[in-house]
Amino acid sequence: MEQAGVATTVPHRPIRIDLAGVRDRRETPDAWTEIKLEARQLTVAYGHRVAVRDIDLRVPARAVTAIIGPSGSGKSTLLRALNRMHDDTPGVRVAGTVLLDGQPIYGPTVDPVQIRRRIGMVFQRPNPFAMSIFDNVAFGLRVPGARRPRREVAERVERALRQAALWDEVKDRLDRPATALSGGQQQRLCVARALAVEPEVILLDEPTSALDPIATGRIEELMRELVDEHGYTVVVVTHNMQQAARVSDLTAFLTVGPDHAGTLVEVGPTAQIFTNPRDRRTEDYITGRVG
Amino acid sequence: MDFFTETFRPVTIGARGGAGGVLHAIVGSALIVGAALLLATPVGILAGIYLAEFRGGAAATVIRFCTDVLSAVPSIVVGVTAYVLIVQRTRQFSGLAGSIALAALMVPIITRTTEEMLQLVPQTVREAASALGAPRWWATLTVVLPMAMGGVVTGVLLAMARAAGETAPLLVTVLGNNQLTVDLFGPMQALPLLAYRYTEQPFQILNEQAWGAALILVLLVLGTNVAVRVLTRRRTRP
Repeated sequence: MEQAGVATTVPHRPIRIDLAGVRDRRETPDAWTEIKLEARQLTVAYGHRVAVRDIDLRVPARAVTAIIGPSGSGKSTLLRALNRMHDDTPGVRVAGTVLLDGQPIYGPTVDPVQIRRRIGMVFQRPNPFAMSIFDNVAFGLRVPGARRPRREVAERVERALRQAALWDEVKDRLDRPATALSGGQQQRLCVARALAVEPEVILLDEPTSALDPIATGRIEELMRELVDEHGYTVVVVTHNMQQAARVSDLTAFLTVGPDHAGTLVEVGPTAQIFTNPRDRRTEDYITGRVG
Repeated sequence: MDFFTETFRPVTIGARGGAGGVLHAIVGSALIVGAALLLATPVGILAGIYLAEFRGGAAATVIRFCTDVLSAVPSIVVGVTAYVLIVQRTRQFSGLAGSIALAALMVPIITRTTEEMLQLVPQTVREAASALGAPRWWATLTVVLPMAMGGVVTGVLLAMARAAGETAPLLVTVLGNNQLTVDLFGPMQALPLLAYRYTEQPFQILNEQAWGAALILVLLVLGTNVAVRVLTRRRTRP
C-alpha cells in the first residue's frame, strides 16, 4: 500500500486473471447472431431508489452469458427483471422493454406465469421444497395449467435429473426428502427442477456462492453442458470473475454509476472482456483495482 | 367411576351415596367444541393465509384490525351477541349457538397463528415456486402451507383448549341440561357450565362434582398443551 499523501499514479499492472480456461470463440461471432433475450432501456427501481438504469443487453441463443460487477451494481435485480420475478415484490417498478424471441414479456396481455415457464431461474441458495426428490423435480409439471400426464412426468423428471448430472446419485432414493441431500446436490436438484419444465432460457443468480469448490465445479460444468449439449440459453450472475471467465461465452460488466444506480458498462466476448476491455472501468474491475 | 358413566341424578336432602356423574357434560362439551372447531378452523386458516400471503391492500388491514378487536372482546360479550342474534331469533337455547359463540373466540387465535407461521416460511421458497411457473395460490397450497402445518395445527389446538374452558358464552346460549343429549339444536350441558352451576348448589356432593369437572378441564388443557409441545418439537427437528 502506498503511503497516504503521496501522489498516486496507479501503475499499470498485468492482468492477473488466468486465461487458460477462457473460451475463445472470438473467431466465430456468427454463433451469436440469434438473439434470444433482449433488454432495452431497462430500468428497475425499488420505491424511489433506482437499482439499475437504462440497461441495453442482448443475450444470444445457445450461449452462456455472464453478468459480473461489484456488489450493489444491480446484477441480481437485472436478472430478476428478465423473467418478471419482480412482479411478486410490492414497490418494485420496471420500465423499459424485455424481449423474448422479439416479443415483449412485459406486455399488458402477457401472463408472467407463462413467461416463467419459458425462462427458468435458479437462486443463490439451494431452496428445495420440503418434499421428496421426485416431487421437487415434478413440481413444475403438476402446476395447474401445465399439468402433464403421469408417465410424461416420470420421463421428464429422469431426463431433467440426468441433464443436471444428478440422476446416478439419487435414482435409488427418489422418494427421500430433498432436504437430506448435500448443498451441492440440492443446487443441482434446483437446476433439474427448473429444467423439467423445459424452459428455453435458464437464469442463474450466483448459483455457486453457497457451495464448496467441488460442488461449484460441477455446477460450472453443468452450465456448459446445458448450452453445448442441450441447446439451452444460460444467463448467470456471478461475483466470481474466474467463474465468468471459465464458463461464459459473453460477459456483461455492470458497475455502480454516478447516480448510485447500476449501469451496464460493456458487453463482449468473454475473452475480449478479460484481455482487452474497451472501458477503463471494466479493466479496473477485472484487474482487481476496484470492487 | 359413576362420575364418568352417569348423568345427573336428583339429590335429596339427607340421602347418602352418589349423585350421578357428568357424562352428559363431557359429551356436550365434546360436541359443542367439536362443532366450533369445524366452524372456526377453515375460516381462521383462510383468513391467516390471506393476511400472510396476500397482504397489502385495504382488505388485509381491515381483516387484521377486526381480528385484533375480536381477540380482545370479553367472552361474555360474544355470548350475549350470540344470544341476541341466534337464541332470541330461533327462540331456542342450543348447543349450536354455543358453538358459534366459541368459534368467534377461536377464529382470531387461529388466524393469528396461521399468519405468523406462514410468515416464518422463507421468501425464497415462494420465489422458487413462482419461478417454476406456479400461480401464487398453488404455491401457497402445495409448498408454503405444508411447511407451516405444524404451527398451524398448534394454533388450532390452543384455540380449542381455550374454547373448551369458556363458561360465559355458554351460560347464555346452551343454557344447560341435566340429561344426556346429542342434539346440537337443543339445550346441552358442558363441563365449564356444569362446574359453574354445581358450585351454586347447596349440596356438597354437587360441589364435589364441580371440582371433578374442573379437574377434567384442567387435564384437557394440560393434555392439549403437551400434545402441542410434542408436535412442535417433532416439527423443528430436521
